[in-house]
Amino acid sequence: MKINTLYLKAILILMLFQFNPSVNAKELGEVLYEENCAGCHSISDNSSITLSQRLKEKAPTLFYAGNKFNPAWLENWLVEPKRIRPGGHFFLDNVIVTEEGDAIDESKLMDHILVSDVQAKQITEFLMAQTPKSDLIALEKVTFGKTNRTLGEKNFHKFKGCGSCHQSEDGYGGVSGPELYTSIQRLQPAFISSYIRYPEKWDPKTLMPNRHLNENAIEKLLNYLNLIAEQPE
Amino acid sequence: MRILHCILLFLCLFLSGQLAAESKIGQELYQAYCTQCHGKEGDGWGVNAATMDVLPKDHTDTKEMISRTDEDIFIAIKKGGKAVSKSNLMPNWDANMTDEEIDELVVFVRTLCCQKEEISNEN
Repeated sequence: MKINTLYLKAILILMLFQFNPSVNAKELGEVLYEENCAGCHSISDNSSITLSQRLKEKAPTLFYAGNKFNPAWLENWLVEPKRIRPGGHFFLDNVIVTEEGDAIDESKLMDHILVSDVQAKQITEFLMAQTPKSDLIALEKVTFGKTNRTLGEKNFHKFKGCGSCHQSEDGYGGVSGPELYTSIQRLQPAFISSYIRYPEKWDPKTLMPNRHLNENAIEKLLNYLNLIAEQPE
Repeated sequence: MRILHCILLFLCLFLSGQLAAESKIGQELYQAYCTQCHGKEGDGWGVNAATMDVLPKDHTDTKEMISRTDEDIFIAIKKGGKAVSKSNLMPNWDANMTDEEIDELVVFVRTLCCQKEEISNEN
């Protein structure tokens, strides 16, 4: 029944699209989202989520996708998705205990679906319209400055402990969190800054600690993330 | 007298049920926040351990863990390793867990490290 409703909606939107293509790309994106993404990603308010629910999620919430992603990156990634979290969305689902210590069982990791260029554009339009928590973004002012790679690396891994869960280059760093050497391409700088400052305000059951960093410390980390960002080919 | 025995038995069952429930919450918290570094079995060999400068604590090391008070463990979880003169890589989880949840996590950590020791002492 739900599928039939979706098809009807899709047909109606396609008819409207004939007359006003720019306005309805977002609505087409919504239909595509419901068909392809909603099975794993949630888009609803996450403020009262429990830890059990959070751990059962199959993929990150897209509740605030419009305040999180860089749209150009999102559109390209949907066409050619690459794994961002080396351990999967919740690492423990993919852990095997070995004699050398715990390891991620690569065979348990699933590939993300891919869509066409046109579909990616439409889904991106829909996702970028999801902008709750904009008040948190409004508090951030990010301007990148120079930083020293050696000091930045030491700060990232040793002093702030980010490298325990996040990779600062391919294969170096923790695997339970998302890689951060692509964070500047993927994410809006104000979101990164805000997420470091108040991770629990974005995701009440986040697995990221709030290290209570001051303005200067957050700025240093952002400068380092900018320095290690892979340049798009 | 028989009634008193019945009441005592009921209380024992009730309290052990309570502890099991607490431990279950503690276990979930441990799985979510601790296993990534301290390992699925709590032995310190989590998936992140390979590239860390300081190895995470082995929570199954009874000899080491029994020397820590519940308060030490509570502070380490809430305020981070630095607060108990240990590695800064152990973050503060104060924004992720309430004090009550940390208490339950401490109960669970004790089941990993010290349950065997406590049982052998009782015997």
